[in-house]
Amino acid sequence: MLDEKDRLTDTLITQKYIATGYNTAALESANNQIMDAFSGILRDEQQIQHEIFTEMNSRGWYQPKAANPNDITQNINKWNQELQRIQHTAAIRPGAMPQQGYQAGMTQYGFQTGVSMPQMGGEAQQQTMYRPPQNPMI
Amino acid sequence: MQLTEMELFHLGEQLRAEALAITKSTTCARETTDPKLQQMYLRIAERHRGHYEILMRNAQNFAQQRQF
Repeated sequence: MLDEKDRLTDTLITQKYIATGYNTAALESANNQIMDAFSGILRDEQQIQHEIFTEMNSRGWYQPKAANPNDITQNINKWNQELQRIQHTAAIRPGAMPQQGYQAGMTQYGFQTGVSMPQMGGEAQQQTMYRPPQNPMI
Repeated sequence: MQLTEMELFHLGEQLRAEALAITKSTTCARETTDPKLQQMYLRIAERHRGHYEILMRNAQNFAQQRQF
């Protein structure tokens, strides 16, 4: 017979399975009405899953390990470098006209240890780093 | 637009999964000795029942459209 932890774990896994099914179903829908139905239920399945997780977490049965702050810093630095590499590649793309076209503002996250991440619309340093050409075929 | 084969397939798959989830949650509610968890399982079973009805309603809407 299952104990309390087994039952919660089984319910959690069932929720993940069902949510995945709704996500795929929504992605593969052609009709807006069906897509909205799948998406709406998906959100509710996610909330049920989170409710079960919270219950397990409060009982000490599912406690995800916190990420090492140094690893977070290192990863953010790496992602910023990758972003710069992608922007550089885009800027030298043959036919690209960076001075024309609509302005696509991309946020560069400056990260310092001990400083919280910039809030949306707050301290984020907004820079226009790449402007796609009006006509990519040129 | 008519219901596609893929949508019909997913409706069937999700209905099967919801039916199983209702049965499982109801069984868990019966077996647990924790009143708080019992209430939670019953609430979850009810929500899955609601999902089942939404899926059925959508399937029936398309079946009715086809008749006209």
